[in-house]
Amino acid sequence: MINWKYVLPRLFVVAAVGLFLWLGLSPLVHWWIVAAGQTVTGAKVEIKDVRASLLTTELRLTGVQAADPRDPLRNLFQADEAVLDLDTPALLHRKFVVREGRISGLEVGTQRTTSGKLDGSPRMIGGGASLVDWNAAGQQMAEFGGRWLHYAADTLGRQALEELETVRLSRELSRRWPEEYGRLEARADVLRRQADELKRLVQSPPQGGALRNLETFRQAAKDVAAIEQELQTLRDELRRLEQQVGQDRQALAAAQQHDVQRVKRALKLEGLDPATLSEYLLGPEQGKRLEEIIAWIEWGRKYMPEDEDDDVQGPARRRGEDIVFRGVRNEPDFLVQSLMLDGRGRLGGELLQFKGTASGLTNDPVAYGKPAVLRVQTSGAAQLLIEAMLDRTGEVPHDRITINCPTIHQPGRTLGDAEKLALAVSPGKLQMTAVVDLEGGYLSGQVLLRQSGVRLTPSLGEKYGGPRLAAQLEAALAQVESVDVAVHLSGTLREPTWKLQSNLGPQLATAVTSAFQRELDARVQQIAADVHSHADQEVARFDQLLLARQRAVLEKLQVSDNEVAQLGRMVSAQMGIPERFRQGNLPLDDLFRRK
Amino acid sequence: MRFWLLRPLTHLVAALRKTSTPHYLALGAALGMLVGVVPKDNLTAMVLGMLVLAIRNNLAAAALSALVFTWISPLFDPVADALGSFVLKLDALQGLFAFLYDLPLLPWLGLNNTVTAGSLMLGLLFSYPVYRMAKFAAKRYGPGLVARLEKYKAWQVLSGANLAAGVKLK
Repeated sequence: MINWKYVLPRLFVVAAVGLFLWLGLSPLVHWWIVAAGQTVTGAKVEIKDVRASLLTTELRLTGVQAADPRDPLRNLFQADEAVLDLDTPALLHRKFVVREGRISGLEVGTQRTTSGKLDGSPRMIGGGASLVDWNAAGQQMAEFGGRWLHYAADTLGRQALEELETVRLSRELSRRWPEEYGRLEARADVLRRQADELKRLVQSPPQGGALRNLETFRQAAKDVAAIEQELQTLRDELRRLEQQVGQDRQALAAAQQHDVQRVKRALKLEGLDPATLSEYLLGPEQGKRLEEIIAWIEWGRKYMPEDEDDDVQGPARRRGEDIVFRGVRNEPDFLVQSLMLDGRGRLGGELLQFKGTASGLTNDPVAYGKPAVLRVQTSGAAQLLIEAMLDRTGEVPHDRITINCPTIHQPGRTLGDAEKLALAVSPGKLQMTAVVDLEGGYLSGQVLLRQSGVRLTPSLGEKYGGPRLAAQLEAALAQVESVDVAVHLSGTLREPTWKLQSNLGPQLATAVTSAFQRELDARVQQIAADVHSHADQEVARFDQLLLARQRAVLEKLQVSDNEVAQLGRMVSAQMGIPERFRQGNLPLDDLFRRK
Repeated sequence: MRFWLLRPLTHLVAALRKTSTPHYLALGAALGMLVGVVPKDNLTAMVLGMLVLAIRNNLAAAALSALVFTWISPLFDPVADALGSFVLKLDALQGLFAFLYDLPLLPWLGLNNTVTAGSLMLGLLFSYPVYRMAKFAAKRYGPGLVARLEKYKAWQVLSGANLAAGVKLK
């Protein structure tokens, strides 16, 4: 006989366990996926409903959204539905293998109405800035290019006239010569005053008779002789000055020549490096593009485990060590063999539909032995083919992203700085191919872009030549119909280097250089003409000044000459000796001494 | 309904009151210890739980024991890990272990984990001593303990509830 008192409670407990598995499995799986997802992303993971069936080993998730750890009000992704068909034999061996799966209605980067930040979790896993600020690197490239424009603008705007030797010399002469002639005039005035005093003395000699005044007249005769000698010195000085004026005119002409040569040298423009100009125009734009691609690689690196220790399947780490018995094949505990993806997204404001596949997603890539591969193809406004390969099977992680875009609508945009040199590029079709390879920390790859059917409209800031130079550039760029850009990547993820090449640089560099050079040539001509004009004006003014001052000095000297001659005669008469004796032909001292 | 909810406690009270049940009480304590020391993230814990339910023993004692040993079991992890590691890595047993591990459902037991295997071995090793000690304690201290507990109102209530529940079940 069955002891129901014993059997019933146990049956009840077994039934409770069965009921729990039936009713509680889905909530349990729900909790487990959310917890695992939040551990991996560091932000909220929300699932509207989870249906798990042990009989069909199928998992159906609806209303899935995972917040972006870098931006709590944005989703990393969201999906309408995810159906995962688990491999039953693998499940019996405690392996979660998604043989086939489908995620539909997948969207990346959608807005959230509530914050996706986890409560009490200040750390945002997977968040933070990229290791390298590529945008800043692009800006730096632009700065290198901008320096040439600064230099060109400075050269153009240089006020050379004030620094010229001609101007300096003419100013010096204008100051020196009036001084020189003024000094001569002053000396002539002094002589005249001396002659006047002697004249008064001779005309009104002191009382006492001729003999008494003999000494006075004798001194007067000496003074007259001294004045005559000084007059002669002044005439010699005037002749020397005339010669000096000639030399100074020659010096002024030499300075003029020198100045013209100097201006030509100073306003000579160094050639503009085409690569520098390409970097100036395209550096910031390409920097942003590279930043996006590298950010995706970094994102993938954060979430892809590099070895078995980086287990992403559960929030709680298991105690102890799982032994892999000899003869048992080491297989990953979690593996997505094939996952179909379809969804929608926006690129440059355009709505895109996409379809794709993901395979090889696992917690133990080494055990699986194959890389994770994601292939996505978009349709709609832009047709992109993206293939990402994340290989963790070897000792060194190896990632590669290939983006192939046969056609994408590129809206109109302005390259460069509108206050310096900017280039408005008309809307057009863009082709892009990008291959970025990251092996370990080493980066390599290239991005190729071609925008065809473009019209380029340059503009220059006022300091850099303004609309007049811009019009010259536009004419030079009229034949450019496409913009080709190649960015070559190298270095490491922490210290990347990238080289930018474009057809835009050489063509624009030639146009810019020749336009600036033409402007400078005109400026050289202008300055040379200014120099000549200034020198001519100064020389003419100088000549007039010299002529007037020379005439004045000569007149004064002439007057003095006459007066001194008259004075000499008067002194001779007073002394009662012939004029020729006063002039020194007769030694008066000896004569008086003998008497 | 109220009595039914209190039933596990009344079981324990009844076990302590009746000196004739030290065997079941000790068996429950030993099985509870076995369940308690084993990590719970595997099928082994569930199988042991079913075993506790299947074997006639004092469920309340088993539950109490499982609770206590679950709480203190991390303290034994280093020993369990070393023991499990030693056994699981024995060359001679690799073939057997590999065969067993390849069988469906057996990987869910988690016995390839050093702590799980070691804890199970420790539990099995100490289950008999625990049984003996629990039985001795129940015989020796059970009546005295009951006499002391009789003074408490909660105990009286539970004893009464047991009686009432017993009446109702009958």
